[in-house]
Parts: sequence; C-alpha cells; structure tokens
Amino acid sequence: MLIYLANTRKNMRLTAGNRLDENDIIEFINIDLTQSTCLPFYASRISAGFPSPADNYLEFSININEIIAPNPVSTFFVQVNGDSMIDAHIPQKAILAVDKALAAKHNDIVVCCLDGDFTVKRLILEGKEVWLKPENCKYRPIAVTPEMDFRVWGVVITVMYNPKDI
Amino acid sequence: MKPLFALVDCNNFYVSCERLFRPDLGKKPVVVLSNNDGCIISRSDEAKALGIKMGAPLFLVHDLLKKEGVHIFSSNYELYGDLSFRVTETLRQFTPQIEIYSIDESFLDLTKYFFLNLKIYAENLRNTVRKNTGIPVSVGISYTKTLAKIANRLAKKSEKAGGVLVLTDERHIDAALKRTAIEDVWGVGRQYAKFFRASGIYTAHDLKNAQDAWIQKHGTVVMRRTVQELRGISCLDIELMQPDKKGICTSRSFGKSVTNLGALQEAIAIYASSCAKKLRKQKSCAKVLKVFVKTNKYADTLQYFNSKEIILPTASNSDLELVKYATKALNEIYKEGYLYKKAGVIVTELMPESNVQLNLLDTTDHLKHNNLMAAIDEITRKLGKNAVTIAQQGTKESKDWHPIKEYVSPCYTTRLKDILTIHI
Repeated sequence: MLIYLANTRKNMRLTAGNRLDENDIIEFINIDLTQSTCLPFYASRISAGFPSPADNYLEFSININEIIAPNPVSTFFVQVNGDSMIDAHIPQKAILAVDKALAAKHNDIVVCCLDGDFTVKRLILEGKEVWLKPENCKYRPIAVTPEMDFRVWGVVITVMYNPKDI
Repeated sequence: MKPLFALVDCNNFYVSCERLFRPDLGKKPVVVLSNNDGCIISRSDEAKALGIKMGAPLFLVHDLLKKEGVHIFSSNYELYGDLSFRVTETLRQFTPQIEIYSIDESFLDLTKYFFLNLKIYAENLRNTVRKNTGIPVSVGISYTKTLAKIANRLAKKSEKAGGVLVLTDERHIDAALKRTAIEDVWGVGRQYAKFFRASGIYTAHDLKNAQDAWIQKHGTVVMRRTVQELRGISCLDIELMQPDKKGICTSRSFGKSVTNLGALQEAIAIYASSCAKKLRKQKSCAKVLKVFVKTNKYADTLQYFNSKEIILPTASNSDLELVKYATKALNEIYKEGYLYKKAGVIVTELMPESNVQLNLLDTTDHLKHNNLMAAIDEITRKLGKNAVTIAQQGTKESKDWHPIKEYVSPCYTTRLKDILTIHI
C-alpha cells in the first residue's frame, strides 16, 4: 500500500508565540502538493510500547491481474456463447482473457477469424495441415484450407466463469 | 550527437480500431463520423479509393456510401482512447523518450540509438505494435521532427516502403522533399501554402532551398524554424511531459435543436461537471467560468450568440460549485424563442489545487466539497461514468438533445457489458 506525502516548499515559520504577518500566511498556504513522493505504508500506529513485529514486512495486496493478464497492453477480454469448448473447461458465458501478442503454437486454445467470423477452438498444427478442434464430441474438427480467410487473433490465456454457470 | 526522431502514426486509426473487432470488415470500405455524426473523419483505404473525401459532411455523401455499401461508424472515443493508450504503452517498451502528439501519433527520440540498424528497429517496432494491439502503424525516421513527418507520410504512401522509411542519407532526404508538396509540410497552413505557391515554392525541397533573406523577410518565426528543420537542423525537441492545460472547454453540438431552458440547463450542468472532473484529474482549480450558447449559423432561423463569464469567489474543481455558477451564468444569457444548436462551458485561470487562496467572504465548506468529490471519483472509478451525478444533469430519458450516435460500436475494451461475444 502506498501513500502520498506532500513536500513543503519552504519550512513553515509558524510557531507558537510568533506574531503572524502577511508573508507568513502566504507561506502557510503555499504547500507544494505537485511534488509527491511514494512511501511505503506501515499498518500499525505509533504508540508507546513495543512496535508491531509485522512492521518489518511491507504490506502488498495480491494483484489478481498478474494471474489473469500478465501483459495487460496486449490482453483483451471476450465472452463465449456456445458449448463447443466445454471439455476444455470453457462453459457457456465464460469470459476469456486473450493475449494478442503471443504467437500461437500447436495445441493452444485460440481466438481466430475464419471467413470474417470469430471463433474459439484448439489449434492443431500437423505438418502443413491446420485444424481447429472443438472440445466437445458433438462437433467435428474444421480443416483450414488455403482458400479460407483464416487468421489467429490471439491466444486464450485465462478462462473465467462462475461455478454456478456450469 | 545529431538528434534523431521517429514519428509513429497509426494508419486510418479510428477505422483500424473498429475493424479490430469486426474481421468481416477487413477488406471492405469503412468510414468513421465525427461527433454528432456530422462529417467523415477517418476512412479505410477502400473508402479513399471510392473518392470519399476527408471531412465530407455525411448528408452530402450519404447516397454514395449507401450505393457502395460503405460501413459507417459513429465515433467511439472510449474505444479509440483505450487502443491509443495500448499503442503508446507498447512504444514505451522501446524508449521512454516519447511524446504523445495526438491520439494516433507519437514522436520518439532515437538520438541515442544512432548505432542501430534503424530500418530493422522500426520494422520491429511496427510489428510489435501490430501484434500487441492489432493496429497498423507507419514509422518515419529522420534528423528533425519535420523530416520525420515527411518520412512517415511517404512510408504510408509507398507500397515498397512497407510502412517504414528511414531518411538519413542526404540524397534520399532531397528526393523525399521533392516528392512532398508544400501544403503537406508540417506547420504549413493553407494560407501559407497559397502564398508560397504564388512565390514559386511548390515543394518541400523548394522551401528548403529558399534564400535566407527571403525567408527572413516573409516568414514568421515558426516558418523560419520549419525551414531549418527541413535542412536537417533540429529546432523542435521532444516534449516528454504534457503541460497541464491552461483552460478546459467542454462543448457539444446538440443532436436536435433545443429551445427550452430546462434542457439547456441539463446540458450545461453536464458540461460543467465534465470540466470539474477534468480539473480534478490534473489537480487544478479554476477561478473563472464562462458559459456560451449559440444557434445554428447554417440554418435559416433567428440567430443568437451570447456568453457570460463569472469569477468564482474561490477557485474550485467541485462539480457542485461549477454546476451552480454555470447555471447562474446560463440563466442570465438565455433568451426564449431561439433554436439553440450548441452550448459550452469554459474554465480558465487554472491553478494547482494546493495553491488555492481561500476567500474570507466565501461561506462554502470547501473541505466538505473536496471529500465529497473524492468519494464521487472513487465511485466513478468503481462503477463507471455517471454512476452518481448532480440532479441538474437530468435523467437519461430526458435527453433528446443528446449528440446523435446512430452507428456507434460497443466499447469492447472498457465496459464489461460491451465485451465481444463469440459464438462457438
């Protein structure tokens, strides 16, 4: 956790007993907040007695983005509708994190464009052949032929769904 | 060390953004319209080939677009802004020395990379942006920003260049300048181009070789600088930090003309609140607020334009304060019986939040306002825009004056409810 600490541009000269004149007031208001500095934040309050032994350990909260989308600049989210990938743990309404920057490899689950439509399938590369394999025995694999307009859009890196949706 | 600049420019940026989520439009003509669906502001190459001009008003070309099956989009700045951010973040992986010049253009300072093979560097950069974001870019590299602009333009135009042009060889620079018409030089406006042509200067190359005495006599400071830049002497540095804005304006044309005060008040409240949010984002307060209203100058109706400036008792960036004074200003200039087409709020005399001088006669509890605004900003961050608004901003149902966005695409990357659905 971080807090912002303000730098005072000049030391404040207001101390008890001094008389205030105009300059003092101007300086008093003139705190430069534009130059902020990041400082680690410690949880326990200062009080008499022993300091908390936990203060030696900085507090960080878990950043879930590191798991879902380690590369946020090239990651996009999409939602699926259909049951063709159910055996790959992609149920109806699942949200997929798709990394566009990754080069698709054999066996990756990919978002691809096939003749102008998006689909999500497992990419099978066998020699010169390219197959798009559904993960549901109800559907047959699609052979990608050279006359098709085919392009891998991105590689699925995370599948998210609500357990109630399965 | 001789400076070296790259200009990275996204090709047909708005169209490219729309196509990213519409693979069916890959080779089809596509155009994007300005706010309020007024004019064409971005065209795919296919649309350009149909002779559709940049800036053409929709109503003039509507029949042509329909006949040719051109796909039309209203502008979706939420989507373009997010993709623009992704593009510049990708560029930052190459160098921290980057100036975001506009939503689709960035200058990179490559001075320290002179020893690299610049063509390979630029191709790598281009491919990485394409891979990360799906947005095609062109890269121009040369000794000055003005020359980098010219290189970029030619990189885009020439098939052979493949989106990348490095101009570091004198002969290549001269050849490029000869191919660049005077009006296509960065910083040369239409009026100036006319003047240059009348004086026998037709290309960038002619301007580069114009006599110093002549430039001194006829050129402004800016023009002299441009000539220097064409000669390979860098006069414009990379601006890493964007200076805070000196004034902020929120104004919009109405989708439908507005006559009654209530609707205008709503619009003005929304614009004032938007100004307040922009102020808080850059940690400034405004001392002066101005409201203007105007009728449609192209329409054959009674014309009226007026504006009113109010000096705030204490500089502020609070929605409540700005909306209050904006409404007050509007009430003073509103006149019945006119068809209003546009209104806006401008705030000026900005100062850092921390430097605000309190006014002894001002009874507003500014600390309370600050806390409230911080809470509103937090809610906005969590729940999205307009989760909490000032009542004067009205409800969704009441806004028939809202800008027209007939062909707007979903905000695929910024709103969870808008993400792309794929049928599998």
